[in-house]
Amino acid sequence: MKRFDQQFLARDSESWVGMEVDELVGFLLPKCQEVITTDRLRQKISEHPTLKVKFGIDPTASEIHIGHVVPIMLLRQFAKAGHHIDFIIGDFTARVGDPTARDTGRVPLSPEQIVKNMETYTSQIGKYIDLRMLHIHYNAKWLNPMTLQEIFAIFQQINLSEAMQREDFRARMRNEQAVSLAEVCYGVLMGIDSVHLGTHVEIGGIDQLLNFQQCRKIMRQSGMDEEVILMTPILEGTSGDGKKMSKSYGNYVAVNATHEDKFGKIMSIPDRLIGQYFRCFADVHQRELEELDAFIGENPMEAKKQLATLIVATETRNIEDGLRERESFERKFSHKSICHEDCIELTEDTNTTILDALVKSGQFKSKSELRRLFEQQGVRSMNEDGEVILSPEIVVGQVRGVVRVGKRRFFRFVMS
Amino acid sequence: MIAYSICESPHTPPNVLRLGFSVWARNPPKGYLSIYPKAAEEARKRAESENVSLCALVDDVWPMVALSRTHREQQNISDQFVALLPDLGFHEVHLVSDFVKDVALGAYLPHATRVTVSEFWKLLPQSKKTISDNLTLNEILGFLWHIHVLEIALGEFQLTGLLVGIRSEFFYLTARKLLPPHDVYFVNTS
Repeated sequence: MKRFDQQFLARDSESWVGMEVDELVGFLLPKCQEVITTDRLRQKISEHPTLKVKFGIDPTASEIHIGHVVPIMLLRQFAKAGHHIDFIIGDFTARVGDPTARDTGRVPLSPEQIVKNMETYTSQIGKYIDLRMLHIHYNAKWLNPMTLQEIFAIFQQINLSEAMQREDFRARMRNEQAVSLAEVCYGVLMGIDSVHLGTHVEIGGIDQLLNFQQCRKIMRQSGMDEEVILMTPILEGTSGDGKKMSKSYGNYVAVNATHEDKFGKIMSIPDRLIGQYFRCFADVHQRELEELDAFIGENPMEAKKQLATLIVATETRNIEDGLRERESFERKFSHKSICHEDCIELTEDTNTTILDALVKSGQFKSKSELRRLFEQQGVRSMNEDGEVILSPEIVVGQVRGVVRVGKRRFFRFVMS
Repeated sequence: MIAYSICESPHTPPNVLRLGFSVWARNPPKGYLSIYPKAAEEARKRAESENVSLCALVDDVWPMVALSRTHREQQNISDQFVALLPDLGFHEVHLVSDFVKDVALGAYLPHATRVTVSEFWKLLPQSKKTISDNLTLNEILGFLWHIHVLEIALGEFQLTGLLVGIRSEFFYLTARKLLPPHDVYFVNTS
């Protein structure tokens, strides 16, 4: 059986410094949904032994999910190839609020929130990229002190109607939702970042397209060569309903989740997403895509296990961690063999209802969440006779064997 | 002369009005400026105020930037305002370059988070809307700058209110939401 997980992870420790242009581009493109433009990308790589590659984030959330990591994986490829990575922390732009793909305006952040969010953010992305490879900048450093003359000279070049009539703004206004003046200025501020840093290549999600176009315009009007834009797809969530991965949709894999949880959630994605996830999280070359897609088509379950193994192992740069999770997953779900360590042990009175006992375990957000799981027949006892669907009123003393809640949580009751 | 006023801010001490009048020193002073000291007098009577101070806030920074003037060119125009306004009945004349020290973007951009595009569009005079294809983001910058100037002036000169032309009604109604409490007297200038 082909082992793509091991093959791709082995590339993790490779240096790509000095790699041929076409070879490098072959690794970059599978991660991109759109490039403006591929020809210019090739040209820039040829012209600049050390490209200045920019990636910016607004520190709006402290806890991130693997959807946020997708552009980081592309950035990592540039870092491996020895290019200069400018990592912009938008402490100034966060006060303004990126309007991208928002139904409503973002709430601007306080300086204290920004610092706190950044600490947790960098500790999380540090699992995927060596932070020592990043040149970290805070954009308030150059945006905050810009004089009226300086900002006037730049704003003078941007047409007001054009800046206001972005499709996302128009959609919000049609729905009578507010668009702030600060949001109108956001793309221009990003462009000033690029001018300040002399960026050659910028990386970001495809939802940033309109902001990137402003960046290119600002660079052009400042007499600079426009940056090349590499845009990654917006990762679809695990539920397979077409929605982007998001905390608010509950279809996400948290970067800080346990290996077990990560592995389990990756295993829950629909088969049609396996290819996209591989492209996003593995160093796949264009020439390997056909073989990879054929493998996924023929062995979707095996491909998904390899994907989950790879995603877990990428975090620790150790394939053994991924393989251990795979083994544990197969034991529990393929062979239905639950061992003592897989279970949370709860000590309870025999007459306590199973609903109350599980609520007391503290493993669930609310009683109503648990009730929903009962209604969906997601609470079952597992013993040598098979599985039995449990009702919330049943008392602990009547339960035989291990109790499984949802797909991946197991409980064992000890009578007090 | 006063079309209407919004008087909500507490005056300290009672019955003292300190009104600000803001003007961009773009061109040499025009005749219409004499309307405002008369309007201030009307405000005094309406408020049964014992005394009133009318402070002219002459913005010599924005025109210099917007019209790419040299410091000397701007100073010549500003000097004309400083010389004329007291004769017209303005009690104090303050040049913006003297009291607004922080001209950095970080000082005034945050106001932009609190104004919507729809509100801003209403502020634009019809004459500008008809040529909107030629307008730039500097329309927004000018708005933010002016808010910044007024905010500092209200504190610096302990202004109780602003005396403004009715044609700028939307701007000052919006500004009231962004600035510390103050009265506004809308003056009929036509």
